[in-house]
Amino acid sequence: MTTQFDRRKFLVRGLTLGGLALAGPGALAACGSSGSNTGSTGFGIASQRLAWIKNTEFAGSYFADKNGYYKEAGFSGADLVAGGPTAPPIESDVLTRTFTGVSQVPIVAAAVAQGAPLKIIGAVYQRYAGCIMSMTAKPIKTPDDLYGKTIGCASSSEPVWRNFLAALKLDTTRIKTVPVQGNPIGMTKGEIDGYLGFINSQPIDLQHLGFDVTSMLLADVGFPLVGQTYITTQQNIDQHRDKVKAFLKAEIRGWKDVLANPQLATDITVNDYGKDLKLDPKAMLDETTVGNDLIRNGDSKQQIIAFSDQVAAENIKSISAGGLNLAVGDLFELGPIREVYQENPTLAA
Amino acid sequence: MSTAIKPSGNALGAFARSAARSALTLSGTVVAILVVWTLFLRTVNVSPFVAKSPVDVWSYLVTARDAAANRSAIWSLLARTLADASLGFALGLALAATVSLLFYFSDTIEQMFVPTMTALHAIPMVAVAPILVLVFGRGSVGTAVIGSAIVFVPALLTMLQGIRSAPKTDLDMCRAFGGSTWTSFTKVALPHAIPTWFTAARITVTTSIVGALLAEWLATGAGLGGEMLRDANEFQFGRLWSSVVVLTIVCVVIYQFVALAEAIVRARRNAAR
Repeated sequence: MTTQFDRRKFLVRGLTLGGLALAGPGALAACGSSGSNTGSTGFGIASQRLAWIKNTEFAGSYFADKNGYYKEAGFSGADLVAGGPTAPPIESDVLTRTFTGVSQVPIVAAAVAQGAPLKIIGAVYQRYAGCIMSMTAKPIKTPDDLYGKTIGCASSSEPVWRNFLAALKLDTTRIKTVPVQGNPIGMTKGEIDGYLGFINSQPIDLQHLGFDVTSMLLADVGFPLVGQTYITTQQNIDQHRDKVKAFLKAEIRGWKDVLANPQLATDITVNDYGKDLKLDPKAMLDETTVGNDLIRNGDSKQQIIAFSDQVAAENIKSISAGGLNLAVGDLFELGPIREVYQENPTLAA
Repeated sequence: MSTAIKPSGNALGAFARSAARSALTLSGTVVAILVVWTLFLRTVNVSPFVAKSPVDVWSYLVTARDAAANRSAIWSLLARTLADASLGFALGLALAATVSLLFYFSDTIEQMFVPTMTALHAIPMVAVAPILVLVFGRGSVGTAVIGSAIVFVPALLTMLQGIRSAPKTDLDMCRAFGGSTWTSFTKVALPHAIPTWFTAARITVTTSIVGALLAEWLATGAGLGGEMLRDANEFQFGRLWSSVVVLTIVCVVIYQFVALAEAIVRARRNAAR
């Protein structure tokens, strides 16, 4: 009967369109495994759900896989599961199928506030990569510059953005936020004045397209947050602490390689792990370099991926402004990473 | 005796049958959705923090402590989404009706543009939306344009079929009695076309809600569409699933109403003949 047929068609089309709407630039995000051997040594496969498509933001994990750091830590191999605009929530994957994942503090905190048994066990970036980028001809350099402006924001960044506005006590009636999913090219036409991007991504892409853009890192203007946080379940921490530590150790070694050799990190991303994405090698090198600046904290003896309790407390304060009231111990479990450095003093940079 | 009451009895009967059928399909749809939903959750490996069951949604909307607040929040967002949908629906149908009538007078123009329009329809809205936003802005106009872009093509194709369905014998008769192209249009083609406008409305009414959601996702960030995307990113999956359920029910109900309107129009037309 025709009414039935049309309704079914609508449902199918609705789902398709819904999927398309969520599919931004990275619809081609290839999920998949890499270098997973079948040997069974101790901890099994180090499965990790990445926060985004396989660009240089995860180069440390690529090195950990390629240079055998996972295997040396006791894993049989690695499974790096790509994310992207159409991927399921990272927290969901970590709760059900992968050992660890990479996510953002406000989103993990929202999940924890709902009762999800997750913990942040480390962070690649000492400073969260989120930034407001604007055209240099009409720059946004300070939070006050945001007044009277229209800011584009992908829905995945909205929790961070609303948190930022609340933490800095900015008057939201004077800042217009509009959804811009994916490509912020409207900024170059003046349709929006600014865009909440990642300093190691969209600003560099636009610069490589010949646009003169200015960036204001949220972490530099009174919104301290770590970025690229590793998360795992409370169960893993309680029952597989050694495995958690082995994973962190492999990641530390991988990221040390990225710091030491950004060119090689870019090469293995462009030519190997992210090959299907046809990434621009020059832009990617810039992105790796900018990312490395976010990893370093200026300390010559820095323990990368680890951070202090004080930093954790500042993070909690940042997100509490947005209405997420958690204690440091609810969200962070920094015991394993501390132990890794105690047991392997040579790992410190 | 029977001849005198037959037409009105027919129309009334058609109405009653149609209403009964609507109620039946509605409850059938609800049961089918609940079954598929439950089966789906059992087969996929997704965390219960993300994948909410019918019970979770019931709790969020009805039994939870904040249920009343939850419901009123969804209602006000839904009102905005339905307003957005009506913009795209009205503009899309008006454009389609106008264009279908223009095409009636020129086969050449129709053959020139129908393939292009159908092809344009295949381009995902995510790709086109930034351009539409640049041109039409993020207000009511932008919302109406994005919505109508989704509604237009299926509506047009249905309406074209209607205006072409005018019986050739009727048209020939009109011409034989000296009627102009205009007369055969107003006396024959148009009366045949108008019922298919209701068919087009039925086919596209739910599409227009999808169009409104798209506009909210891509241009305004308002309404239930904007909120659903935020929910997904703020781990508010109870609200997200509840919104989907409310939207689905609203779509089915609206669809049934338009289907009823169409049935009445068709019944009247058939009775008139």
